Amino acid sequence: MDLFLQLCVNGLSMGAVYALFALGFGLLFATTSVLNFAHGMFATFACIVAYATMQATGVPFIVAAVGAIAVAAAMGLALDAVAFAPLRRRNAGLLGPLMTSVGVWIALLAVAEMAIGQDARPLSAGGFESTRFALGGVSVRWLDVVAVASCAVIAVLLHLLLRRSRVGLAIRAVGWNERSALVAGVSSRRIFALIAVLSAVIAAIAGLLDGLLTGAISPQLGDELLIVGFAVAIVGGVGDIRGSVIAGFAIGLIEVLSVQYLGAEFRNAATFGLLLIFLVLRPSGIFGRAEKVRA
Amino acid sequence: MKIPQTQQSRFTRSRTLLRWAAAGVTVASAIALAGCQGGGSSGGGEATTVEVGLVVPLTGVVSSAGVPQQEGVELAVEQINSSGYLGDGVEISITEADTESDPAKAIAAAQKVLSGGAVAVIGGTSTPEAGVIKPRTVAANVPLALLSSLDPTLTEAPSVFRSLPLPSAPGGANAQAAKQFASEGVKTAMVAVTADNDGQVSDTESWVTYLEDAGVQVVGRASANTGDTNLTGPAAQVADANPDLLIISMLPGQDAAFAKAVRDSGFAGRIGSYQSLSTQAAWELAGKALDGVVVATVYSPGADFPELKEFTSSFAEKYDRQPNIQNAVGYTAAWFLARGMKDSGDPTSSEAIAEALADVTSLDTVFGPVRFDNGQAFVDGELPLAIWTADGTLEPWRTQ
Repeated sequence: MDLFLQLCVNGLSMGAVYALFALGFGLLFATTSVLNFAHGMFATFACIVAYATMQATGVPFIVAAVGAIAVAAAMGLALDAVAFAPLRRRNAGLLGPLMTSVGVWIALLAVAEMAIGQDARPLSAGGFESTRFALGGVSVRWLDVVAVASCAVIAVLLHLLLRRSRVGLAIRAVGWNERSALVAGVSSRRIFALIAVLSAVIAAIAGLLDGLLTGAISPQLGDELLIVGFAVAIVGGVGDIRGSVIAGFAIGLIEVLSVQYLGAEFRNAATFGLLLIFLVLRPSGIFGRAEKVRA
Repeated sequence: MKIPQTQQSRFTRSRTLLRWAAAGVTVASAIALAGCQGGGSSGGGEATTVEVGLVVPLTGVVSSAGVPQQEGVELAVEQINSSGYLGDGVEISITEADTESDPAKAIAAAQKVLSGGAVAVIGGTSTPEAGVIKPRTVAANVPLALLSSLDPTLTEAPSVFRSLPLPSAPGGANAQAAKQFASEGVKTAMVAVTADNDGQVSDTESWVTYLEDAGVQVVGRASANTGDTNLTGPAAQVADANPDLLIISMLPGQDAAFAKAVRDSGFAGRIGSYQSLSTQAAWELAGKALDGVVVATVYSPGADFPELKEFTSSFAEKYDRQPNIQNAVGYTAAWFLARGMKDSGDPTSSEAIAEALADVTSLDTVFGPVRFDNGQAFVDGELPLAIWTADGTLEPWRTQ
């Protein structure tokens, strides 16, 4: 029983990371209709910048992390301005931005490999990641608590932003119909820029947590998050905050428990089996509602 | 009869097109013929260049082994060429092809070097890659010198050779380490494995066999897949079972991360490992989690072999750092191939090289003296095992 509970703790903390990643990924897609395959690179580069900063200057992790998140925000803004905004102006649809994001992903992956090579690098918060406390018969890392709390806080803040603020109203308006929002006086350009920054920042936080939880970073860190994060976003309902959080935790648990009780070879099968079930039975996600399009 | 203007133009255009097409075919044929030259190219009858293909992962998850192996091969080829080992004017030229740690891309990489005229191939860093390279070299009748793939069934003289003594071989590093652990009072053990890699699975099975033969009860198995970075689940499993000994047989990088994860999860027992946990990169990743970890390696930097001393000093001079086992693997494979080329009498003939390699029964290597049986190298006698110390150095681990 203790092992089962221990695995649940591990699964929940990893699930929190997946949920965070899916929140940013889904926010971008729900608002801009951009399926950004380079989204994982924000997570990767946040870790690389944090690692390189600590190696070069010796500053504490938290200082390096703030800088890394700022860099990721700038990357998100630049990517939107250079790659996606011109395609939006030309009404390029879904395929253009998708193919562009694939190209950006490949290019950034090459840059990441040049930056830190292929060997995994250690990411440490000065030993904080190893500190633990006992909860019944279970050993809980303080980092697990930070991961889950971060997910909860960011989800709540995002919900308040989107549902309780004028900016959120503008975001939803632009996501629903950009032209109508323009008519109402909303600057879609600023909204898209804000979304780009927000989604990159959330991805960066997810990446840094992932790096600390696993103890290692590599150029492929973001790719792994992207694959699972995509599944979480679909299962939870793209852009649905509640759904992304619940799906993230669920998939984190499924991953860990399937490895233990079925074998490592069933990990991906379990995760993507769940994705397949939702695509067939409930493609709009846990809380999503099917959209009707009238002529 | 006067030809109408339009017809005349079409006729002229057709003739022009035909001329261009003929020119294009001629040029293409010339290029193709040039590319189809045999693996040994003679320039002016004086110098002979022998093409050798190197098919390794220079990028991707297994590149932490592939890149050092490439360095070892490069050093060996430099020494072979500069010393005139193959004879006056005969030099090896390496054609590299990156498998990107992907067996599917390893197929294309192997095809690339074979179609480039390689008379021999060095490759197979991992078992999945070796598994797809082998059929292609066998079909092309080109000898393959394997690197660090662990599947013992791959070697097959005179087609496929492995100059790295396998730790899983009877009486090998794993068997000796298991016996030593048992003699030190270990009663229970768990194994941790990269479950989707046949080579690691094979290595793990050998550990289980040798441990049980030594009277150690294997109480469980933890597993992860290639590329898995979230190892907290398997680590928790080990901490919960709390065996006296944990054997880690995982891919490079993942093994160090798992050693760290199990220590973080509170496991305080002994740890033994497959040989890839012997590199400085592993120490940089896992740090003090490796203190006291025993590595069942055939490569011991402190051993007293002349070839090892020469290799260590040459490598340090070229790369300004100490070599690791993967450097040694590449270096040894290249020298082994050169031995076959020299003995063959015709280093441009794949068939002659393959037969000569099959006739090699012993070789002095950086791992010590090895003997060959059906293409596979074996080390007899006590093996240089190693143990990490708290300050990040590898020291010999005394064996019985």
